Amino acid sequence: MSHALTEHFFRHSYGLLVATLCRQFGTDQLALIEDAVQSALVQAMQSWRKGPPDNPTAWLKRVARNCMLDHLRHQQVAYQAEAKLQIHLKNEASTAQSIDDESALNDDVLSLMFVVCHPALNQRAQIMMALKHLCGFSNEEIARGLLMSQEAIKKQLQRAASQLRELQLEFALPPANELTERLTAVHRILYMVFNEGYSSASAEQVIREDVCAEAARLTHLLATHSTGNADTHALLALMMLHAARLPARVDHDGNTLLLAEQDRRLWDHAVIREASQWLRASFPNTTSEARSGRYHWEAMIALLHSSTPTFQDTPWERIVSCYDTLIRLNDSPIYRVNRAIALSHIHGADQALAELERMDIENPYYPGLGCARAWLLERAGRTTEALRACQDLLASALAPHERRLMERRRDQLDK
Amino acid sequence: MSQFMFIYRDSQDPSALSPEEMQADMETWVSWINQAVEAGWMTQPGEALEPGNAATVRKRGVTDGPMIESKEVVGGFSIVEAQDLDAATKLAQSCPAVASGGCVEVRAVMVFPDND
Repeated sequence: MSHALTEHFFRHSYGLLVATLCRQFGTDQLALIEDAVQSALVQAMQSWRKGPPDNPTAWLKRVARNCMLDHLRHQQVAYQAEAKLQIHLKNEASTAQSIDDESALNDDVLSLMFVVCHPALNQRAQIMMALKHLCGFSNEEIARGLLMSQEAIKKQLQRAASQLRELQLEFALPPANELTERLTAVHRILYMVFNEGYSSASAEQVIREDVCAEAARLTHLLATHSTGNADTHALLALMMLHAARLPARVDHDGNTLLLAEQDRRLWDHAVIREASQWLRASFPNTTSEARSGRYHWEAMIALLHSSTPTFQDTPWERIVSCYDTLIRLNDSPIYRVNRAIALSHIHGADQALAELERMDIENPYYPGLGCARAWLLERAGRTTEALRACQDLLASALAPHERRLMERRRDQLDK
Repeated sequence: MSQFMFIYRDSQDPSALSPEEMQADMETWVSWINQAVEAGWMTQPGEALEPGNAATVRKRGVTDGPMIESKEVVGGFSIVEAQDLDAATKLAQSCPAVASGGCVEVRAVMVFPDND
C-alpha cells in the first residue's frame, strides 16, 4: 500500500483513539468512547475503499470525535460535553498542530495505560482492559486468548468501566509521588499481557504472537518516554529476548520444543542484539530504588541462553547465580524449579531432584514442578519413576500444548 | 462499450469485525478498486455511503435508516465500462463484496440515442 497504513494500523489506531477521546471527554465515558471508536473505524473501512486520506490518523480522530458528540447528543448531555470540548479545542489550538504531534499522542496512550492499570481494578480486569483498550483486540479475540466466554469478558469489562467511572480519575500521567508505584503496576500488567501471548494455554498461534507484539510495542513506548525507568528497559529487553526465540519454539506440527531441541539458527539475532543493548542500558542505575530487579535478572538469564551458540555451551553456573539473586529478591517456586534444572546440568539430575524434594512448595498444582521432576527422573535414569510422574501429570489438568509435550515424553519413556 | 453501475451490498455487520479484520477488508477493497481503475474498465470509482445516515421515503411516510427489507446494506457504488451485461457481470465477480458474502448489483446505464 502506498499510504502510511502499516499492517496493524487499525488496531493501533484503536488504542490511540480511545486514549484521545478519554482525554477529551473523560474516562467516565469509556463505554460511549468504545462505541465511537468502533463507529469511526467502520466508517474508515468503508470510506477508504478507494484509498485512505492523506492523514488517516487525523481523519479518524475527527470522525471519532464527531461520533462521540452524536452519542452524547443522543444522551442529551451534549450541552455540557460541547462546552467541555470547546475549552479543550481552545487548548489544543494553542498547542499548535497537536493533532499530528506524536509526543502528545504518546502521552495520551501512556495516560490510558496508567488508567487501565489502576490499582482499584483487579488484575484480571486490568489485563482485559489493556487488551481491549490499549491493544485494540476485539472481545472475541480476548475470549479466545484468555479462554473465557465473550459474555464473561463483556461483563468484566463493563464492571471495570463502571469502577473507573466511580473513581473519577484525572486523565493524566500519575503525579511524581505516585509514579514509581503506579509504574510497577503497569510493568506487571504489560508482562502479564506478554505472557498471555507467550505461554497462554491454547490460544491460536497468530493471536498469541499479536498479543506479544502489542505488549512489546507498548513497553517500547514507555521505555522511550521520560516516564519509563530502568525496570521498563529491563522488561523490554526481556520481552524482546523471548520474542526473538519464538520462531524456534514450535516444530512443524505445532509441538512445543524444549530449549535443547530448538534450532538456534531460527532465533532472531538482530532482536537479541538490540535487547542486549536495552538490558545494558538498564543496569548502571543499580542504586535506583525504582529497580525491582526482577526483570533485570530474568532478562539476564534469557540473554545468557540467547547468546550461547549451542545448548552444550550454556553457562549454567552463571544462570544458577542469576536464579539465586531472583530467589533472594522474590522467593517463588518457579524460580526454584528452574534453578534446580540449571543445577542438574552442573551437578547431575540426582542432586537437582534432591533439591526439589527439599523444596517446600506451597502450590503443588504448579505444573512446572511435575514437568521438571519427570524430566529430571528421566535424566537420572529412573525410567519407571519418570513414566509414573508423566502419567500423574497427564491425569491432571494441563494446557493442550503442555499435554502434547508430556504425551511425547511418556511415549518415549514407554518404548 | 456500455456503461454499468455496480452497487455494492455488504452483508456483514462491519461493527462486529475486529480492527485487524477491518483493516484487511479495507486493504482488499483498495487494491481491487485500484486495479480496476488502472485496468481502465472502472471509469468512476464512486463514493462510499455513510452507514447510519440514511432514510427511506415512501408514500406512507419517512422511515429512519436504509431499506431494511434486504439484509444487505448498500455500501457504495461505481461506474464501469464493459461490452455487455455478461462482461460486466464477470468483472463484478472479483469484487470483495462477493467474497465476504455480500453482492454486487450490476445495472446497465440507459443511454438515449443522440438527436443530432
